[in-house]
Amino acid sequence: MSILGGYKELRERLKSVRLWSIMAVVIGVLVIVALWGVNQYRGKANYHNYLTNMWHRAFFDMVGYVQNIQALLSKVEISSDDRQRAALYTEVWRNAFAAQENLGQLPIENNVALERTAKYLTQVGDLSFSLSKQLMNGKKETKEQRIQLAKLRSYADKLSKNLNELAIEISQGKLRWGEVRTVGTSRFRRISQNVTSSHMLAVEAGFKDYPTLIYDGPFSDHIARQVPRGLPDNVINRDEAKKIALDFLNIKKADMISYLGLSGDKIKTFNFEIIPDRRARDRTITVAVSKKGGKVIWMIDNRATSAPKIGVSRAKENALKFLKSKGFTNMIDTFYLKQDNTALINYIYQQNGVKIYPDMVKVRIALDTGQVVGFDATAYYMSHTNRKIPKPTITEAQARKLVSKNFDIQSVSLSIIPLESGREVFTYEFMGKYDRKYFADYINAITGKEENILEIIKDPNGILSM
Amino acid sequence: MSKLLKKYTIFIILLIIGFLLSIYSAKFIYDIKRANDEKIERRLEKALEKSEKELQQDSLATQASTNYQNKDLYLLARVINGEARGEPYIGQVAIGAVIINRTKHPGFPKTISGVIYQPGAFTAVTDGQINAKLEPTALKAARDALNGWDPTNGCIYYYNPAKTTNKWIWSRKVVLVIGKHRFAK
Repeated sequence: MSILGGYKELRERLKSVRLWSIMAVVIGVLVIVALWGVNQYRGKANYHNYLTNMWHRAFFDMVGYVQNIQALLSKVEISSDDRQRAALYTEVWRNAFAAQENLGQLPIENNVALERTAKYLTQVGDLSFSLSKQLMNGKKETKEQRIQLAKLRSYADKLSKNLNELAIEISQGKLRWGEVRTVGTSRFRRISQNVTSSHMLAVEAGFKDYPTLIYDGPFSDHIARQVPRGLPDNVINRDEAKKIALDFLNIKKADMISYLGLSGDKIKTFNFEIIPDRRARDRTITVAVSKKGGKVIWMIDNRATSAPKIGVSRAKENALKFLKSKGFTNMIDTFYLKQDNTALINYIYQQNGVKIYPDMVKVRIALDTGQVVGFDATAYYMSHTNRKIPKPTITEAQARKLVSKNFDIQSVSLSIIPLESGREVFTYEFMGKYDRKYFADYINAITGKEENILEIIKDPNGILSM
Repeated sequence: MSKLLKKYTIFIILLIIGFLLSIYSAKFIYDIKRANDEKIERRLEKALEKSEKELQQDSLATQASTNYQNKDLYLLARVINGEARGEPYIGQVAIGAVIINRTKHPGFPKTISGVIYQPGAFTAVTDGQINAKLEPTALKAARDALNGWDPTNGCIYYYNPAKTTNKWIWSRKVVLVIGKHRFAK
């Protein structure tokens, strides 16, 4: 058919009213869809603006907090008054905390890649807080601590400068935060996003030779480097580990045993997954056996427990018997929690009547069969050792006077407790009531300093501490 | 002519109505599904409460019951559920443990909600999988993780090598593999 012929025919067709009306319908539908689409688009744009504003706020707040940190650290270096410095340190701590909070809200691709910046902010605050406490105890900063602070301040300078440049570019509208979700990768979107990412990564790169910081706080670098004190020195191989795992579970022969690998850094463990019964495949027991010393570090049996048949007191008997059979002597139970038809009981070691809280073993007992379905001795093997416990230099009567008058003391015992920084302190533990709530107050048995206060929560499902 | 047009106006109006109805019915079905998920969850909570009630016979003498429930439990369970449905149980506990390890690590937010809602940190949070139907095992795994069981021995990253688009994550040292996930430091 020639083009002309086709054209003629088309004109003929166009005359037909039917075609007109069909076209009208199609156009009508298109208009409706277009309106709907515009409406949707508007909604999306509104959301995007809203989010962008939130991100801007978080970012600019963060820049402000980092500037404060820098200014405060400079003042610390100049100030010669201990009380003034202690106040400045707490200010640093507050600002660093807020800066880190805001950093965690920024939508940066590979947000996790900002780990170093976040770590810096955490440690600057954590270290300042520990220095502030140190000054309150009347101890001046050591020379090393001053050097450390000067280093941290130089990082604050650099970080502040980088963030400022970024802030200016963002205010001028040169940079945009990325889309909420990157679905598909249109070129434009990727460019506009990578700008922010790459800038933030440049900020991150400023922490290249960041020093290792050791101080008395929970986020100090020494926490990650602790070595287990409670494991024997012999080293075992995989086959021995498998045997130890099966012995621990009192299983002669399991239907399926799979080896998950050797992992861990503080304690290296051989990990096994055991299916005791081929017919019930979803029940698995996972056991981790340490390479050094060949001890079972933890175990989880995921059997679904049915309605309870025994109470917590029976569960405690079973757990203690189990611990004895595995070679844990002198263990006493402390807190417990009932959940999912199981009782989770915390046991601690006792040495000559002194409670050793760091040496903790958790045992989970199924309340239907009374069997052990969970075990975790990580804390115990990390800290357990034969401690030389000194004689208290403060008598119990003296310590009693140091406890608040409002506190109705019900029991006293000597105990060793872990502080957040991993240090252990020797204390009197005063358990008692205040305003119908239960508390444990810990007074240092050597210095008389109040080291910690815990709230003890008792309810039908257990006793636990906050 | 006009007769024909009249005939078609009805047709057009019907079409428009049909179109709008289909949009609304899609939304309606979605809402029903959401409500259903919530109902199942409530039932699950009730079931758990019941089993705990049965246990009150040997409760200790207490003052007012504090009814302790960790505020982060359900949030953690939802993320585990979204990230690791169908993974082996231990793999689910491991995901929970990674989240808890991050709260203790200086390079991450200090709270469970802060870690979970860090933009882009978890796919399940970004794409709404976090609202999927909650399986009881995820809740159990979340409890184990909150109580301190850590199958990963201190990992702060994990990824599914088949799914990840993140080049950077490959540079982290892989410590162990459970199911489809690689866990890294």
